[in-house]
Amino acid sequence: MVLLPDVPAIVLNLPIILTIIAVSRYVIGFKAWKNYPVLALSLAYYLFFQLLESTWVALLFWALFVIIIIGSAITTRFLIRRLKINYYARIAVMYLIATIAALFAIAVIGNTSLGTLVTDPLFGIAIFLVGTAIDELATLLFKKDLQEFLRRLISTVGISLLSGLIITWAWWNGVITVHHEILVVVLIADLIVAFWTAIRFTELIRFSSIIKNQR
Amino acid sequence: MFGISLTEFSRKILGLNLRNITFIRRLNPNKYKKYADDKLLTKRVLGKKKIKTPELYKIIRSKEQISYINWGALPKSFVIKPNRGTHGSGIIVFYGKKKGKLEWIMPNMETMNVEAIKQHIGDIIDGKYSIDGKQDVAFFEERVSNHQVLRPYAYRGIPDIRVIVYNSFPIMAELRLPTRESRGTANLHAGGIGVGIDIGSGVTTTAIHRKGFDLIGDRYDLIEETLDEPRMTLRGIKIPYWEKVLELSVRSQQISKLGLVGVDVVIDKEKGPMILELNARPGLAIQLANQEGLLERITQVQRFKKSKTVEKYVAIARNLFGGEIEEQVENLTGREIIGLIERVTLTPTPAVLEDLIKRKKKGVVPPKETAKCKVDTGALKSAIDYNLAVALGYSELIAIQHVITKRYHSLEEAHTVREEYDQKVAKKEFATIRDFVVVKSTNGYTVRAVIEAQITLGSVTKTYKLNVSDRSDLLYPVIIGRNDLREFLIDPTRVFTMRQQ
Repeated sequence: MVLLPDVPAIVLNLPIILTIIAVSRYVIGFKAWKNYPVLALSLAYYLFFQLLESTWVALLFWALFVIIIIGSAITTRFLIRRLKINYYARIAVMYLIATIAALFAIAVIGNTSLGTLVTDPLFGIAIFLVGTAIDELATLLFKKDLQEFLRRLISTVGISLLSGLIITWAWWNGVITVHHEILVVVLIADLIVAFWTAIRFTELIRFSSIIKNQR
Repeated sequence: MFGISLTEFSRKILGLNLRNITFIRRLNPNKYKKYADDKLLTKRVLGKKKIKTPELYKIIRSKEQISYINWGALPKSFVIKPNRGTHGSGIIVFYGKKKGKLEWIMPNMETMNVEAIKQHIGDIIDGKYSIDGKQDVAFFEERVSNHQVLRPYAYRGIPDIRVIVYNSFPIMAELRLPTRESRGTANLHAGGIGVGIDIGSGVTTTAIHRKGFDLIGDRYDLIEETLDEPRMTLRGIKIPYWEKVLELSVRSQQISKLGLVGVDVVIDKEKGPMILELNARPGLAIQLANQEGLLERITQVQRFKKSKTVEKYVAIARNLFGGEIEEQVENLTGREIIGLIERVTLTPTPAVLEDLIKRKKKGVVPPKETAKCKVDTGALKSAIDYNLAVALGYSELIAIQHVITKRYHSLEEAHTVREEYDQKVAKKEFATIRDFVVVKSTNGYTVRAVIEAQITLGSVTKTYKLNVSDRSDLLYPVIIGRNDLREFLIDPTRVFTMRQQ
């Protein structure tokens, strides 16, 4: 049953991404660092895929820009942490360095056989999306200790990639663009997760020693 | 799965999902969470009900106010905190001040000057550490002085006690110790140590420390000793003022109107227990420190009706969850319970002090030594290391060192030497040596001097007769034998039970 006209898959997949985040957190126990970075990075992958039409090439470009942009932002934030400058000014400096790093990468790509890619608006939007995740991910380093930072970063990037792969799955997009009622199923799944009080999978590992030691 | 029953798991362990939905959402309404999230409000509200909290020195609400701080008037030690911070973030403890400078020393021995502190306060106000990322308020607070019982276990920081209170019942508690790794903070995520506390007796049980590198997160290893030198056994620490800690926790929970709350208590050496802060979303690693599930305990207290007094709630919890019965045993037998290894304090007898004064002919500071001691039920008599005895003032031993360190190949030879020195004792040639004995060992025979010294073990101070021998290559410079253990009951599973009174 088609309820609506041809709605772009990207819109229909937004709630899917957020459901994946919720399931990974409450059922499995992997915590991403907030919703926005996951959304932004997933959609960036989606755009790279639309441009490059290849899972692996899109993955390569996505990983490259995530490492360059997020990596340079986090490094900058770490290096200037001891400077006595105001908090928001520090964020501005971080964005500046990340932008310069991205421009450098774009310049390099521009001089290759894939050079025409850099002029496509979707390419620019994809990089922009990765850039918008800077603040949250760089802040993570200072909100959490190093181990927790690495865990959250890996979870965020991992869930983003998983979400990106799902929303670029041709079969899935074929289904959701035709059968919008799948969103009702997604809603039911969300409600189940919303009231999910069972132990998270990672807690089974975390607390198993208590049960074993009581025997 | 993983060799455990999911049913048993679900019955005993409180997981995050259940904590959030069934307990925090229902028992901790948003309108009351402010009593925990806002530290200044917590102080105000508890203070009105005469519950002690660390003294508040100054509040900084805006960056403009930073320039009005009178840095010279600040005490040598204090704490800076964000009002709405979580997990200890943004808290800086200053231990002392550099002489003649406006620089304060942190637990990791680094210093911060005024500019750096101003920057930190500015970050707090900008909301860098606040629970919701919004602008916050910074405040200066009293630095608590460590109680002597807990000080040896805390690396340059203040240990605290987290008590989980559920509807007025204190159901689980944990001692949190700072370490070098945690940079002097009692934060388990940062590398602090969590030690479970038996609710009944206030004695520590099992201890945990975070795993080295852990991708899953929030996992801990069980440990036996502190991580920094000197290594101290973590089991068997008796928390001072335990009854008061529990009562204060329950009262604080009742005042906050939160149904499930983590109450953080510190014990000041002068002021006793004080409430540091309340936590409306208490973490669950306390279950690992206690090796017990919170859910099981919550289920147990749910069958009790409301009580009228705080004391009643505490008594019920202590009866329900108390695993150790030492206090009862001690009360019944009149004997103190000690472990196999203890720390003792040694002082010379008055006779030795007199001798010291005679020889030095001027003011003498009475020697006092603390040493590790083995409680050896396999030995009849007690013994002390030669070097320790000399340090205590038994300097007559120096002249006869060659006698007491020599190994004699035959019993007759050893007895001959012993008789010779016994005669000297009879002629009162020694002021501090009481006797000589022959002791057989695997390497032959030794002649040992017997001295008397005062030893304090736990609350018992008495004079012991000690055989002096060279114990420099042994682990324990003092052993207490059966003859001197009449006042004690020995628990072979424990070490360092007693704290010096």
